Amino acid sequence: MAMLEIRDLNKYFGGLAAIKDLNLDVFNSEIVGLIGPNGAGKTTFFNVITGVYPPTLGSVLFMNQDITGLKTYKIAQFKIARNFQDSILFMKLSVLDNVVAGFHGNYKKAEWKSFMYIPSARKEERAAKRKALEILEFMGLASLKDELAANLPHGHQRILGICIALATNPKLLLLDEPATGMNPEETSNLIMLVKRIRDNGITIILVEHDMQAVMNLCNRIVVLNYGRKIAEGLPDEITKNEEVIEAYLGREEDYF
Amino acid sequence: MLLKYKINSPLKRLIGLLSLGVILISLPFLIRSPYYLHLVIMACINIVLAMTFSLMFSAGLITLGAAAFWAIGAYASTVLVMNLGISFWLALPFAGMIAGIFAFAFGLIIVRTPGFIFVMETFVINMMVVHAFGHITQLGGWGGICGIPRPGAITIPFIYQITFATKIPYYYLILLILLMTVIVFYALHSSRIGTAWRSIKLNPGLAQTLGINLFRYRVMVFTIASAFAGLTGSFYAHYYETIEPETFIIFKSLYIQIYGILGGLNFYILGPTIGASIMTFAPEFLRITQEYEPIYTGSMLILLAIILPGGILSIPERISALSRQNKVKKVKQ
Amino acid sequence: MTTQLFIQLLVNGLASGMIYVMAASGLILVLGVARIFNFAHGEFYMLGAYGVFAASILLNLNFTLSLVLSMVIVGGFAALCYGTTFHYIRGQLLQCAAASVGWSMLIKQVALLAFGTKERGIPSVFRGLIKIGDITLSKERLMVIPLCIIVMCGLYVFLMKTKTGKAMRAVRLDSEAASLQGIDVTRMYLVAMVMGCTLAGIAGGIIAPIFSVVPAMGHDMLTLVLLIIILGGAESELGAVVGGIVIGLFLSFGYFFFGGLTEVITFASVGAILIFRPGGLFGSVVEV
Repeated sequence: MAMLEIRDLNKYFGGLAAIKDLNLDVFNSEIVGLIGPNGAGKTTFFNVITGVYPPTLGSVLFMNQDITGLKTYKIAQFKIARNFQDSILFMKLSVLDNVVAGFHGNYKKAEWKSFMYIPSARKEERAAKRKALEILEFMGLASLKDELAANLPHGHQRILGICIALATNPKLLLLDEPATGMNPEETSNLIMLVKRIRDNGITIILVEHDMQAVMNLCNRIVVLNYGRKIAEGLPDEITKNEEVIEAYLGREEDYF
Repeated sequence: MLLKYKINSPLKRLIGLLSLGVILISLPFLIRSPYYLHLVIMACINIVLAMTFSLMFSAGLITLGAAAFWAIGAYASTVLVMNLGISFWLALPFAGMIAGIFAFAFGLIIVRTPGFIFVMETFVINMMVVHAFGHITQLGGWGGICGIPRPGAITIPFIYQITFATKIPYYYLILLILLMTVIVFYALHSSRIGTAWRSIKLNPGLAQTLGINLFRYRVMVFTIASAFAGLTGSFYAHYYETIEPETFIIFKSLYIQIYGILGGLNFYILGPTIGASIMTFAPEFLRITQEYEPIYTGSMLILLAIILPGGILSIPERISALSRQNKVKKVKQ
Repeated sequence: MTTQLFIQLLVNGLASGMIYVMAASGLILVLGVARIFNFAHGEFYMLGAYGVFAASILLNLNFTLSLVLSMVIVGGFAALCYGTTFHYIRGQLLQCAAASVGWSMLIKQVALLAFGTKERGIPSVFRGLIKIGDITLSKERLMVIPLCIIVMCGLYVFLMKTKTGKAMRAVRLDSEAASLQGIDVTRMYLVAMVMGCTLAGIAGGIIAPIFSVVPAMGHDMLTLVLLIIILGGAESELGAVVGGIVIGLFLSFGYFFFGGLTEVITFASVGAILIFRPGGLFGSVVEV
């Protein structure tokens, strides 16, 4: 049984089809790559799954539960996390506080207990802080924990975005172009980190343009063009797929 | 940022708190004039109101309606005591609850559109409430209600009976209310609820993806803030013994906002304290000539807004930023 | 209700409505282009009225010259406010609110000291009554309407056809893009503030012959203007026009039917409208 089942997904903006008749399964512990030229609908896909807007048609099932069209905060409660293309962070908070904020959905003790200074609740919060630090160490940002998020260089901000997503203890992680703006060294580092995340039992859907990252990481690749799925398969198959090559050759950028 | 300027040594903190406590407790006996004690009492009321503004601000909501809920609490308490014969001591918390319920009801509707529209909607609520009280003749209309009874006496067996004959018992009561508000609000700010509010303020979109239900937390902060404003309203009604709609007009809400801005918007407890105190005391001390006071107060506001947009409490930060700049200059030389 | 009464209420409503429209359009200009929340906007309205009073009574100028002189004074003062204060805190909503409240206190007190609390006014400019068919109307009130329409048309032409006007609209849409296109954004902010406050001043000047001029008149105008902007939508000029006229008419007829209850009903109605259209009648909502 697939962890994530997308059935006949359609998203129209006015008359424009951003996603058309998309069917997709994502299985536990895999890294699925989602590639395609700009405007193919990849970020729209993420937005629909995470409840930024509902699909026009179709359904999204997560762990056999219908999450179609639910609000973002509800979907977060299902343990689906994402990062954003533009670094979306709590800019005025420190790196550590950013990650701690991500724990919001993970506390077992009720909120009012936190307010009443009940020890068990406050203990949980201290534990959250420690876990946040662990995540930062895991992703290599621990030395910057007290730095203001706004002061971080761009590449670090992206990794911080992933850290925050990790803090929610997700089962499914949607990574939206995490390698954008990174130099080769940073990208290699990112690849290693993403592998580690998957090894920790988190399923990942990766949207990326950087082919090095995609080839290195993904078990399977799904290719979108103009909102439609035009190919799906193993990385080697995809690079040889004629339709895929044509879709990319039609654009200016040099991908392969 | 709550009490940013933390004194690290626990001994120093204890001494500081104790001295503050001693001063606060003995204040009525240090200030002989009932007029100045009245000012202190009004300052305390304004501090609480300003703190409710800051509470909402910490969640990203700017309100121009604080005075409306202050009014609802005042009128509710008056009706409870004068018409229903309930003791003030019961009416006080009830008034707060009633104000909170109104805020909850309004909140369900207006919290969906945060930002500028929310501010404007609280503005409309304030106007509605004031005009409603002005037109309901059973509530005294524009003339208001006078002769509101004082709080009932408190009898401590075998020791003492506290009657509210002078201002002094009122002072201790409002001090108690103020302290309670500080404790409750501090607990809220430092808890997970406060973290959720600040997340909503800093980046609502991101907060949502972390599972934070924006609607719920916004309604929560609106309700809690307004309930405390209502509580203060009850005290005010039975202290001043008169209430009239004019007191609660939109400009009061605006002033409450300014109390928060003046002290420093990033300081949720100290900021309102300083801002409300300045705005309560300064006009009195600037009353050099009765006629020129608004000019001085107005000028003070203008200057402070330009020079210290971060409020008074941003001064230490500005000084350290300046000294850092100077150090860089020196290094460059 | 007789036709006479109806027409009278209609004219009164339209006249006050047009005044509100002018004042509200002024604030929208300041708010939208310069992004300044000016709680002293009502005081500029008051200054305009006192300016006409002073020029008429003290300097013995005729109404037109008084109005022009008053405009110049109000505009100049607005420039002063901008240059000393708002230039530095522009864009910070709360700081602007605080500073403008400060200005409001200051201006009101100066007016109080200069002119006292006594109600002032100037004699009617358009004296007497006019008879249209069976209906008798006050010329003064009737003339308010075309006067305001002229001013509003002038504003429209300015915004749509002149280079500065178009530049201001560009700044309102996107100040960053506008500056990239070579528009002197700071100058636009200044112009917007001056124009916006002057519009309020003209409104005040026009009603000086009709209503009494007191230092407190700015406050009531401000609350009405804010209400109109809420009703019409904060960024929309069309909203200001429609909102102003609607409120003017509503209050005029409302007082006849509901008496003192009119204001409550007005606020409640605006509140109700906001539930269904949170952005106002013509505004847009960004929901998060």
